Amino acid sequence: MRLEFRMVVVLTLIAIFSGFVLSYTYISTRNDIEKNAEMAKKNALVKVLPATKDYEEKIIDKETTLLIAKDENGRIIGYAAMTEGAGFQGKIKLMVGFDNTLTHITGLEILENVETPGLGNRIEEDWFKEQYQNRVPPITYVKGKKPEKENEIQAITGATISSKSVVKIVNAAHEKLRTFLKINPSSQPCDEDSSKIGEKTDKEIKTIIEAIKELVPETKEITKIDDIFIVQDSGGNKIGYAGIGVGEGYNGEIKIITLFDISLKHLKGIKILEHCETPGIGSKIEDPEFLNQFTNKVLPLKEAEIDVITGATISSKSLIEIVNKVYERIKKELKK
Amino acid sequence: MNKKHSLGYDFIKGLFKENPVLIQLLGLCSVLAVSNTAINSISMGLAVLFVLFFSSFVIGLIKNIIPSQVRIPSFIVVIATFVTIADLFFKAKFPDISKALGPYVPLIVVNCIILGRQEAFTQKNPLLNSLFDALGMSVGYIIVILALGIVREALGFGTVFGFRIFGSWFHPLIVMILPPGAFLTLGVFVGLMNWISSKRRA
Amino acid sequence: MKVIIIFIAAAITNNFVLTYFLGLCPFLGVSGKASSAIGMGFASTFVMTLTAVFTWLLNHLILRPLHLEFLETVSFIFIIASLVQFVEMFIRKTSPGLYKALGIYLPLITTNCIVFGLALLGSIRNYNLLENTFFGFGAGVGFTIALVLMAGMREELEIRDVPEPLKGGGITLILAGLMALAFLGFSGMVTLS
Repeated sequence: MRLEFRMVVVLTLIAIFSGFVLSYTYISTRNDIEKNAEMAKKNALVKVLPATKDYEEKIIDKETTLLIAKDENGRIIGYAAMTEGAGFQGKIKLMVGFDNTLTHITGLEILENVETPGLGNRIEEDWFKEQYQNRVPPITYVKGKKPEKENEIQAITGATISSKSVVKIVNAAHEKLRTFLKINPSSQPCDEDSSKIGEKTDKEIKTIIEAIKELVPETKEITKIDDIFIVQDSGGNKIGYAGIGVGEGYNGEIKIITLFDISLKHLKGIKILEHCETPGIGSKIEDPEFLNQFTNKVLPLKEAEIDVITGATISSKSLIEIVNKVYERIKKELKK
Repeated sequence: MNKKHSLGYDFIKGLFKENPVLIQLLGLCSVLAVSNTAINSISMGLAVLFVLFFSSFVIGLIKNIIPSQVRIPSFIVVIATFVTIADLFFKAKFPDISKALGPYVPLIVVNCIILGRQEAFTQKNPLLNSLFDALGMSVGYIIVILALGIVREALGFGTVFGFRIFGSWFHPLIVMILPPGAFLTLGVFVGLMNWISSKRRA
Repeated sequence: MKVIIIFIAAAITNNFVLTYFLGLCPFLGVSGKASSAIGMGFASTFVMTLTAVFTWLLNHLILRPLHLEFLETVSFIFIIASLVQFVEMFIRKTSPGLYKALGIYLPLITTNCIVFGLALLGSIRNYNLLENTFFGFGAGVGFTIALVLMAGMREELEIRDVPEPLKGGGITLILAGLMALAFLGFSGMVTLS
């Protein structure tokens, strides 16, 4: 009995003593440890967004933290994501910075990785990280040749999977920031134009007529019945119908004019009247190269027929949707 | 073991004759895991020195009041305490090293060298001898882990302590910094050690 | 699905012995005979699976809610030591046959770094309870695989002509290096994240 008592007492005393010593050490090192974590974060942030003077943190989900970088006047100069994902051997933790429109990547820092030394962990090398600067996400990678397009980076020879993982994590972070910042009121709202369909000013009618003429040069006369514009050539023959469509883009309303052939089987073309998509990303829906794809497509439009703009999937798809909406509307009204 | 030796002998034996790593094959997990660069090796070695020295000191002081039935748990708690202190210290002062060593600092707790010395030496010998024994064992450990770190870093990266030692003709042998390189190098070391000591005896 | 990946990763691609260098003492010490290797492997797998469960509970129910993460090392090692003790007592009472088979290996497990390493890695990786259990089980299976393979090779080595200085530790380490090289071929098969 005495022995058991002694056993308990000695063990308890040692445990209590150990607890005290550790608590003391912990309390006296805690500040430094927290400061180190803070410093590491700040150093990485300054590397990916060099003008950063101050930042704000928002937790997006378990893996991803958003850092809003500000300059000395408190203006938002960009966003960075501290995030992680699976690599070849284990977790890769990184920080990636974007400009304040989320158009370009400003820099990349690898915070933690356990990739194979000498192969996979070359993702930490400067040349690999620097490739990401000024690239337009979503990024793709090329193997064994110099990247040419603005969304390409070169994968590391012998470490394609690690390179691919980084690309995947960066793209996922970009997507997360985009969705997160959209629901966040701090993102720039669309310049609300007071004009709505229905109350068309003369000026607007003029732009519409001009747009139609651009799409079909032989246009001579345009008659408007309800919401449909009937297009006629010099001989008075009907050569097509045009309609205005409005839909929700990525940042706000997109307004387009669509022109159909007389049998309503083919799309003759579309033209953007108004939009407020992100400059450099969504705004690419205005590129003639993209818009020309719509010419002579069979109606209703299928998503597979149009190559969406890389990085502006939502804006591109929204156009397809609007075209089909106008098509349905005109078809119904013509039946009447 | 109960035979009394001089303090000098208790220190020296850990370096060569009873080297904890090469002869006793103890504490291998940290030796192999973190010896991929020289700087990691020396940090790990110092952490082991700290833990072993202070554990031996405290256990040497209190060994007489610990009932032998709860000896192991008591030793482990003491060791774990010093390991945590070392871990927190690295985290606070040398965050980069702490990141590189990862879970191998807390793993010193189960490093057989530490508990093994308490069992085999500290509890049977006077405090001062135990301290010298602890120092000798730690230095023996440091020598081996550092040698391993230098060889692996030199062959695997072409550098030692981060300084380039080979010309541009050298193509790093990546396998040396991967797990197989650790096993192979240590295997060769153990073989060399045995060969040297058999030569000496002869 | 994720638990299966975790299991395979812990057992094969990120084998604890051959990539994390955990559990080397028994790996080098016990693995001389295939039969004892199997016994040690089973005993360890059993304890490791339990350890994964209990350290997870301790970590998520006590340490983290109370912000006592700095006591992780001390409390984990304590849990493991007590667990091994209880398992030993329990097996001795309930199944003398099993005790005879596993009993002598149990005390060795406390100081086996693979068990403690498992607890630490599980905590670092932030698994949920189910994932952590499979992580522990997989690590145990991986340990058993490495142990049994090594024992088989060493039985074969007994009758081979090994250079005198390499006998014992040296050749075992070199063999382990070759095994690690072979296991490197599995890497990338599944990814542990």
